[in-house]
Amino acid sequence: MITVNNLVKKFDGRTVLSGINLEVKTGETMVIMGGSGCGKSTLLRHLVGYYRPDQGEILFDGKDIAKMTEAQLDAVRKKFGILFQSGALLNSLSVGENVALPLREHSDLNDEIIKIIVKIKLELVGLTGFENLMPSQISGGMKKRVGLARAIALDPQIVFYDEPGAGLDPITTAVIDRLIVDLSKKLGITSIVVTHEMKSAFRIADRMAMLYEGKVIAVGTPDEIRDSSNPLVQQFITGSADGPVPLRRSSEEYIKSLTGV
Amino acid sequence: MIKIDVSEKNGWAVLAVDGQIDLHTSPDIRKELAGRAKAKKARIAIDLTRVSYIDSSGLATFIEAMQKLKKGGGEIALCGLSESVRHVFEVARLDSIFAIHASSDDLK
Repeated sequence: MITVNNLVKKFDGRTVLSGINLEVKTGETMVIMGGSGCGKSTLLRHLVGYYRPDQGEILFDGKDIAKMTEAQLDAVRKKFGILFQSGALLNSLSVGENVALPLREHSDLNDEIIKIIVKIKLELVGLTGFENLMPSQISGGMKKRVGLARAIALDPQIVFYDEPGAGLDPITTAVIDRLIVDLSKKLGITSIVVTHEMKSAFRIADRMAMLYEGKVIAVGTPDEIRDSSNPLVQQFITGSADGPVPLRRSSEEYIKSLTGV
Repeated sequence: MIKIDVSEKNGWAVLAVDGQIDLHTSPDIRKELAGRAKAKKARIAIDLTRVSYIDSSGLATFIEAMQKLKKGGGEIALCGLSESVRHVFEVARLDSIFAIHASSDDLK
């Protein structure tokens, strides 16, 4: 469904993605993991067409989204649902209006029909009857669920999740994880989840890809990743402070930035 | 594009839909249903034998029709759901709300 070939991206001359290759199959849940600054969020932004690569291609159903015009991208994005890190609800709108937003933006559906769709979507995330509440009246976990209801409002083929467990307690994270798995299986949705939380990653992934310094260093099923002999992968999944992953990016770069030599 | 053929069977108005039911086509079905659902004690069956895909706007369109029909003492039934279409109803837990028949021949 999505194939990334040799994706390269630089910001201010610094290489953030240095030749990413990745394939995501229809219906699978692919977890992209890695430490802060490894490029996983940058990769996600390329996959949804917010960033254009410096090199390489991103094929969605065989078509390179990196070469699409904005109008073509808009048409493709209708097939995408995105759950942002914070849920990204509009605080001035009710829960129901937030879920209705993509329907109002991307369709000419009648208001009565939109109201019914909102009810169906809220039921899917376990929030039936919450449509008239304001975001400020619900918990962080509920906001994520509303964000998810909004992400699936247009019946997307793919849902992208950016750190779905960020800022949530472990139980709420587990609830969101189960919802991601449920929706993927029930609706046949392809899911791409960016996270650095290992428990979640192993819980939800059909396959996982680990990024390090802008490259995919391992791809496989949770079992294959767990059994990986790569010390970088092992350090990351065990959360060990000691190992090959350096704490500082580059002391040389640091000294150069201070002294200019 | 979508095609809707209307026929009569055992006192039911049967709307046979041909095509995909999505954001673009569900308003056509809604239009076709609107006038019929207002009539008292109307019985409307939607034949989905030739429908390979239905999205949430399609589900919502049928629910709205059901609401209108119930007000006038009418009925709605669905026929000929393929496995994938039926699955969409099941996921939204709507399979128990609608009377679902294998084919329009089962309408009584």
